[in-house]
Amino acid sequence: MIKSKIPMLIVCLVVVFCGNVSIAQDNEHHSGQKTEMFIGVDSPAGKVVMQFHLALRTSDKITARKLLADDVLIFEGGGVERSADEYAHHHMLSDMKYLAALKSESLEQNVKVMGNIAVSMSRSKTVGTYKEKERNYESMETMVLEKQQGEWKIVRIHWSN
Amino acid sequence: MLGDFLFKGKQMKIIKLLSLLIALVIGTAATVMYSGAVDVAADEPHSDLVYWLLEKTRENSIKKASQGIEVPDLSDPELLLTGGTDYEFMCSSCHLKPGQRESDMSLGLYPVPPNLSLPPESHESQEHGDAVQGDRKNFWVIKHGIKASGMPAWGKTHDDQRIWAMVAFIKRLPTLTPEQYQILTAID
Repeated sequence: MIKSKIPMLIVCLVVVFCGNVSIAQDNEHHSGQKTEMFIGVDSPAGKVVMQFHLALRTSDKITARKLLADDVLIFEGGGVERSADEYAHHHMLSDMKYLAALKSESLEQNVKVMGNIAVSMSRSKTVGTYKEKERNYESMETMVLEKQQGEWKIVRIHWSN
Repeated sequence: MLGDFLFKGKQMKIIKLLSLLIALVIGTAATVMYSGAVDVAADEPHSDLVYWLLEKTRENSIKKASQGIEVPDLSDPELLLTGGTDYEFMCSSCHLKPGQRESDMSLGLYPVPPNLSLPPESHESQEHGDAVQGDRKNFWVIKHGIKASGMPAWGKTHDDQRIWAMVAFIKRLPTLTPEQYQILTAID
């Protein structure tokens, strides 16, 4: 009786083996893809971008302001802010309150450094409830940084969603 | 006769409508005032619309009020010394010094006091006319203050000459290094 079941057993073993190999390859493919979504984030300029994001999420006005160049140019929501103080004195406060209430996850970030200039492009997903309204959307950000007196400063920002 | 009657009827309708509108506006205003629904916390920023309304109203009011002010010669170095000392004691805690980006006061006040140690964020040409208008505005603001903003009316305790000295100093402030600022604002 066992002898008659051996071919079936072999077939099952082969199927299981092939399945595992396929799953392992798939995982490897996705893990590789995930790695490609975050490039240059460990560079000094990349770290400044991450610190800025964290400062906004944690309402750290001092750090956020410090990372912006005084003459930063910000495009946001159809409006323009032409200095760090102009942003810090109004919209930054609103942005901080907004981000503190919601959950943001970084989906992709690509930081390219070219001498004293760096460009960071990123996507993030934001979910949660703010002022009794459900929020669930992806947003995009482009930042340009410049090394000024040895420190990376954010000189341009474009936010859209 | 019929025409008169109809015309008067129409007039009454308009008057009634206007009265209703006025009553609605007053009622809404009273409801808002007495409900406590308006958040007056300084750490809760205005909406974009309210912010824009307040900013524009303030800018235009100061521009108009300061129009006729005659600006004296502000190049006298003596003005810088007098103005510097007053700036250090009266202004720097809110309006900051060279190299400073925030203070306890600047972080807590709303609207946030402008950082006078940085160049003005104007993108207009720096012709003589614009600089003079800037001096007029600064004089007016220092002398008269701004309602509900934390900016005091220094004119109650300081004469015009002293205020002009501060205007002269504020004009030079964005060009000063922290060391130069320290020298100019030190007391004998």
